[in-house]
Amino acid sequence: MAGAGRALLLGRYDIDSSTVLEGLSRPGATAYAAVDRNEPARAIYAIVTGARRPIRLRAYHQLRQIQSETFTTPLRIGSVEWPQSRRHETVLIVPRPTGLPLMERLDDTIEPVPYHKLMRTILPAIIEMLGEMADQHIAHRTIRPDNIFIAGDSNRITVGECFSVPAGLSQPAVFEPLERAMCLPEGRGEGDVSDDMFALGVTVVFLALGQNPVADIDAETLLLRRRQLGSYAAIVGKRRLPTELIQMVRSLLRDDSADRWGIEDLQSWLHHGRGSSAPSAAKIECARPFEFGERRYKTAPTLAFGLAADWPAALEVVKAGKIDKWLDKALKDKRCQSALARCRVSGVNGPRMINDDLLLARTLLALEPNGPLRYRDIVVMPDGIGPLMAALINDTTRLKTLLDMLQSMLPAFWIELKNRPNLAMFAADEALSRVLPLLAQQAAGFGVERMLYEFNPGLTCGSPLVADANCSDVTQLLKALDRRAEEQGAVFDRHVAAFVAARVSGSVDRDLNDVSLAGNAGDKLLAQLRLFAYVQAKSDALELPGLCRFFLSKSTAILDTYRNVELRAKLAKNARSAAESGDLTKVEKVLNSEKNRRWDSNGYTLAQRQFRSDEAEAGALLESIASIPERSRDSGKQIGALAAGAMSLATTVIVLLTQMP
Amino acid sequence: MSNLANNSEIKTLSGGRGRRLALILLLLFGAMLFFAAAPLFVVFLIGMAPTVVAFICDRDREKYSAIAIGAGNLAGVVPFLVSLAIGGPTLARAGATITDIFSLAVMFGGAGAGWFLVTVLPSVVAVYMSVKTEARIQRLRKNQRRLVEEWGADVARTAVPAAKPR
Repeated sequence: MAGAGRALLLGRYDIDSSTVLEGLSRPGATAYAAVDRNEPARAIYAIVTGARRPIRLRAYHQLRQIQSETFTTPLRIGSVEWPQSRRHETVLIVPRPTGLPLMERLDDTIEPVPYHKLMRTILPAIIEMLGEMADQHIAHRTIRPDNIFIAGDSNRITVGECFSVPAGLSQPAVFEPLERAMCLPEGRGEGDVSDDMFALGVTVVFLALGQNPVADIDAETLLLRRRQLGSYAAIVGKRRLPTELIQMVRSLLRDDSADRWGIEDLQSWLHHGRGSSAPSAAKIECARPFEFGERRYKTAPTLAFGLAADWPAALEVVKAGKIDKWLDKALKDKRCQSALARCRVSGVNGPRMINDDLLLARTLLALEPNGPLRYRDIVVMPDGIGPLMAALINDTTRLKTLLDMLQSMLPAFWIELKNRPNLAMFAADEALSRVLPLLAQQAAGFGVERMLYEFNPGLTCGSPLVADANCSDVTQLLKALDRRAEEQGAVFDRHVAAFVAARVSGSVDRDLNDVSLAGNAGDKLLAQLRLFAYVQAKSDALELPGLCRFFLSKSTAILDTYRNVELRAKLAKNARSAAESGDLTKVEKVLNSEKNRRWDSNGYTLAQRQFRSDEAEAGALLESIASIPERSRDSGKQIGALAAGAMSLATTVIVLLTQMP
Repeated sequence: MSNLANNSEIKTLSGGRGRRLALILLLLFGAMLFFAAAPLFVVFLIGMAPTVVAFICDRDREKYSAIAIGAGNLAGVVPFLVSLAIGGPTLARAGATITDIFSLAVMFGGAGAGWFLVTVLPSVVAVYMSVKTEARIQRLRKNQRRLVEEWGADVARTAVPAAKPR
């Protein structure tokens, strides 16, 4: 047992809920001091994640094999009852980084890190780690000076954990490539190694200068400046970087990810002092700027940035066709003009209609093909839709905007316009294409809830039925529902259905449709039982006596779907006995045997016919009673005549026999 | 239409001809009996008087009442006819027979027994038929109750066509 204010995970990790570790916390994920009871000397800490913030589960599982000492390999993940809230929370146990962060806070001013330390200690370690991560196709997304630790004596570099919050959420915008920096923090997306390379470039700038060079510029202005001048110029500005670093930093801060240095380029530069040269910039500027609001825009991407900042005014501009004219007469950008023409054509697989909002969203993509998806007040990268949806699930208005954007197939148009789309974006678009049809279905287990869980493997079940249980997989969900069923509470709602459908192996869509289309309470309950039985069979072997008893207590509705009274009694008895095993499949087989169903159905039809037949015969007999006197008179007389004839014949024979000599 | 009319006409003609032939034969038989055995004939005629009356009064097409009375009447007359025939059929004995109150009571009593049968048996048959019908209805109702107990009340509310009546 953990003491007051302490929580115990897996009987081993003792978490002190009263000691928050500010430096290791993230937005929505708080770090606490923890002790490993089996290895008390080992420095660890615990991260308690937010309920509606999906952890990076895929990254957690895939990166456990990383060998690099620089990487913080997570130790365990689990769910624990939190002393303060009495709710179960997801907890990550992580080794505590050795040493101190390169910068305690990003606004601190430190002694500039010497060139040789960067070159020999910091960058090689990080590059090695990023190389191993790139092999797993996972980006770190938390590269920044206050998350890189150095042990004073050994110069060992450790990069802090990167799993507890959605990718990019905890990164200040300056460490994000331009298109991701524009997004809402939850929607910046998983990204790839090029995003880490950008963050590494900014980290080098911070360390080389010993301070945040853009600390005094607000985020909006910095974004516009980055858009106008390029990230390198906007971030470094007129500050003096060591000459040896300029080429590397400039190459890492290129705004087009395809032109940015990769791991091999940086390794080559570290080892041989050489890297690929920067491509010639093909920025198309015009002499006659486009006036919008109080600003003047000389390039298409900056205009897109400005238009997105004032959506209602931008709608008017697009509807008036002013952009087409400007592109045609002033900018003379053929690619942009061609893309703009495609904005008004929905195409074979496109949306059914293009409304004003979609037209503007498409126009923004035409002006800036490498930009994010922008739709009214939603700005998101295609691979960040899942975490953003999780963040907006209780914000009806913005969630609707996001869903409108998805249903208008803007991500597909984004891919279509991309100059050089990368594989991660194709994967995001493919996932979206797979899940989007589910959005159109309204039944429980489909719709927005299903999309939410399909897109966020690390998200726990958000059903109010199991709100305190923090279920991260179907086994935990079944256990939580089993406990709830003991109290005879409801065990099925849209979140439970969607969570099960998204997490269980195999498809349960047919069962979900059965639940939705059931015509009566019995059929609905039976479909639910079938669904849970399937999930129990697919999850780790566990007994569910509570759920068995729950369905048993409601089985009257299921048994009512049978007609034969004796069969019902027999099935009820058998179901009681099956429920004792805690196996829903056994209960389901008893209550829903095809053989019994057929026998019952056929028997009922025969019984109906027999009843009708008896009714018809009884009716005919009742009617015939009235005619009995009439029919009996004739019959009676006939019988009388026959009897008298027989009597006469007998008398004659007797007389003849007795009197004849 | 005309064919049907012709057929019924042929039947009426053949029916009328048959009855006429039977009457002639009966009269011939009566005449022969009268001349051959006048005492027997007298006893038979007087003894069978209730039958004659019954045949005249019975309006039923099948004449079951008259037949029953006639059969009973004949049963009452036959012993006296046989006794007269064996003991010597004289008119004196025939007269004695038909004036004997006991003989007449037996002969007419036979007719009464026949009448009694056709009067009482319809009621007996009616009671029997009623009891049999009621018993069958009870059996059907019991079967229906069993079906309801076995399959629930819904079995009585159905659109399924009934099986062929047994």
